[in-house]
Amino acid sequence: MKKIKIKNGVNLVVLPTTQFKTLHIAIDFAAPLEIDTVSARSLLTYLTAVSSKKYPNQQKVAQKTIDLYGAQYQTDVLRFGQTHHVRYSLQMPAPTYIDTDGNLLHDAFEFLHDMIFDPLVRAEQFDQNTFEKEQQSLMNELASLSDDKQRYAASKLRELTYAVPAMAISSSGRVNDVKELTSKRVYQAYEEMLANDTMNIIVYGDVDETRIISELKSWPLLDHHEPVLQPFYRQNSREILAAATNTQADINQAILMIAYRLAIAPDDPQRFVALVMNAMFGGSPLSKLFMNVREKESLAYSIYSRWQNDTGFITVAVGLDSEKIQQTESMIQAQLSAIQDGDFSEETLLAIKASLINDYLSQQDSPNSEIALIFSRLLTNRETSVTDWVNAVNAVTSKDVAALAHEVTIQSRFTLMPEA
Amino acid sequence: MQEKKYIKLKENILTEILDNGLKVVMIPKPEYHKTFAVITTPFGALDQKFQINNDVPITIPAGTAHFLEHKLFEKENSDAFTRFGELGADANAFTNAYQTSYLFSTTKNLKLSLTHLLDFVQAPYFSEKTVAKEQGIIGQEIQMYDDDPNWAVYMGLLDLMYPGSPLAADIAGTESTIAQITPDLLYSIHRAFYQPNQLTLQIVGHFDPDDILKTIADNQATKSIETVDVHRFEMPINQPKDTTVIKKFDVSRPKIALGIRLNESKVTGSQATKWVLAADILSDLLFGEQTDWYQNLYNKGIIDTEFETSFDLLRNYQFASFFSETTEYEALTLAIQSQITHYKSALDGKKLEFESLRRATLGEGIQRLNSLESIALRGDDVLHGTNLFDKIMLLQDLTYNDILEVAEKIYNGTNLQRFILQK
Repeated sequence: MKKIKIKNGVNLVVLPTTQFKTLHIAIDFAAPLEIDTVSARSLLTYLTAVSSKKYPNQQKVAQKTIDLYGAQYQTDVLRFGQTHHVRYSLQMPAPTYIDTDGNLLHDAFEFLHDMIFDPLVRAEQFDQNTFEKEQQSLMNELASLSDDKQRYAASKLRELTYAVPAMAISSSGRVNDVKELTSKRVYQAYEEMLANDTMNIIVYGDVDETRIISELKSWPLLDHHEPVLQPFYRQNSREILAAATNTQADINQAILMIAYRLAIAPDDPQRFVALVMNAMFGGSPLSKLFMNVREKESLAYSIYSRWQNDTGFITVAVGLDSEKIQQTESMIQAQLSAIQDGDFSEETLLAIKASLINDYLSQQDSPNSEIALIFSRLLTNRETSVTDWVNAVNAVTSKDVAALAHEVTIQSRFTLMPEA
Repeated sequence: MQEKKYIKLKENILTEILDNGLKVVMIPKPEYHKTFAVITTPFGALDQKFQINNDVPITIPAGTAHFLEHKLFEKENSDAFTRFGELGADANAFTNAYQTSYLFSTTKNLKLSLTHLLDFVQAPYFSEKTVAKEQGIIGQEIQMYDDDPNWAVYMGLLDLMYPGSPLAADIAGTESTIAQITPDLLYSIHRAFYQPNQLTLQIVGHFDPDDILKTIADNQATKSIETVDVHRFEMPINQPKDTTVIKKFDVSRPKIALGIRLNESKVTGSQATKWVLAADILSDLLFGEQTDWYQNLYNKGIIDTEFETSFDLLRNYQFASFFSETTEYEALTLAIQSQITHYKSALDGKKLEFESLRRATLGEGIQRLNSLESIALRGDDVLHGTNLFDKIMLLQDLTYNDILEVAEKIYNGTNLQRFILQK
């Protein structure tokens, strides 16, 4: 990966390929995660998705993306460890496949420039009308989160789990915070983002570097101090399990979510062991949770575990019959104990490693996966080659897996029950 | 082997029908790392009754196609799904209204995975015991869907437009319908709809076509599977129900689905695909984000980006639908109704806009070609016999007149039905 420093705090990665029939431009603004700015940054992505000076409403933006041959323009917020990201992306058909006399690449950069750097702002605030509409949209979206039972339960588990308040909230913000925001405040957050955030730009497709650098000349990119970013979060183990139960009307199934701490150092080579161990626990169809809890005992329809190195937690999520919660929970615990005791076959271990490697290699066939991978490399300053990655996974032994499983400790549990 | 080249799209399709009737479709993509393979039978939740060789007709309880899909993975002493895992392949299966498909993707052991796919799909093992056990697992799956309000609103609309029809029944069935399933029934369905001449195997990705075709042909040559005649019974479709139904559900904002049930037209093949493409562009012309209509409602807070439209031609089920989340659903209904009533004037002078939308839709189709899964599954192969490349190329020749013709079919004499979920 070749990282080009355009300015202090502004990096560019150009990845020429003809494998795909698309062209991708993605821009990431990264800042330290702070509870006071999350909601404003989130609302900012709503505003800049539907308006700019040149394209003042959604209709104009839609007309422009139609003219760009069905381009998909998207804005997102996300969190990685203790960093908060505002991300802009544009995907469109590769110019080779389009009958056009125009200059699609240039038009794409100009459009992104207009949306990101020339927002619909008057007197140091976003257009009030647009602001009010988008504020309402974001509030609706945050409120409707509870319509999706899995996401709702995940958000409740997060509140129980994290000691740091900014980690406990959604990366899209909180309804009450969004309600309190003013157009001025969001503009201020926007200015701070441009002035302080680390900005990474990725261009992926049938393109060449010099063309891209020359397109970026007209963007107002300034030298600035890079913020200190912490892409990994770790917290101390709890003395007492944090647990809560809510009930909800109109649902049949219960949802059980459990958080486990696994706090290896971020760059510890053990991360490959953690990957395999999680797949053995509940991260794969060959896992203990899937094979035993779901397939053998029919206790759950859906069950999986997920390990995140950026937070230092493993999360287990189960959809099940409300009468089977206790039985399922003790069975989940028993599966972890079995891994600690090395109670799994060499064949299963090999199969799990093979499937992790298959997933990893398959990512190379998806531009969005590749772009996400490169953003994470830029953020963590860590790059593992495909060969090294595959070798590291293959080197994991059953002893390694059993030993690391001993470091997995339960921290919190949330249960969503159907109303009796 | 028959070869079809799509020069503009830089794609090639190789097709071969084996001696036993199995259709093999190969799309080599040498620059990719993985290979995706899927075997499909055109048998799904809509099929309710069939007959083998003029024997006594057999009725199929709701949820059977999906049930069989689950059961096919289970063998007497092994599990087909686990075997894919051991090979390092990522496997799955799905059932929809009109097809059942079994699939995997892999970066190694392609041949072993491919023969495993064929072997497990072609060698069923159903017993009283395994059938009984599955009833528990699927019971949970049905509940999970019931808890999803988006699913509930969609199914609610289908039941208004097509009351009591298989389309309006849950693909997984209900606890009482799946209780009627027996091993004998599953074996009969397998005999009819999983015989080689009913199956299509698609392979997309990194492989050598000659070599792979030989592997498949060798595998099939070892099997002797009888060929039977199959007759499907088309079931009569009930008349639509009430215009509006409101159901209580714990949602943050009301969810609404509106639908237009069309008079059945006998449209098939690429003509049907063309219809769907034209209907999608038509819907964009009248209700898309770039229209005054949309911007006006968006400004008033009547709709937001959740607003969606859709058009489906599923055999005899032909309908247009609208979905939104809004407290102002009466205003939204009026706005949709008014746009439909005045569709002729709303389309007047929109030829240039049509041209932009046609190009954009073509661009979206090209973007879809990145994904091997999309190439295999996002065409109308099963429904209308048009693959994704054909579908994209049809956009090339679509005219403004095609749009006007489809508009006439959809909006003339329209009866708008609504299903609403709210607290």
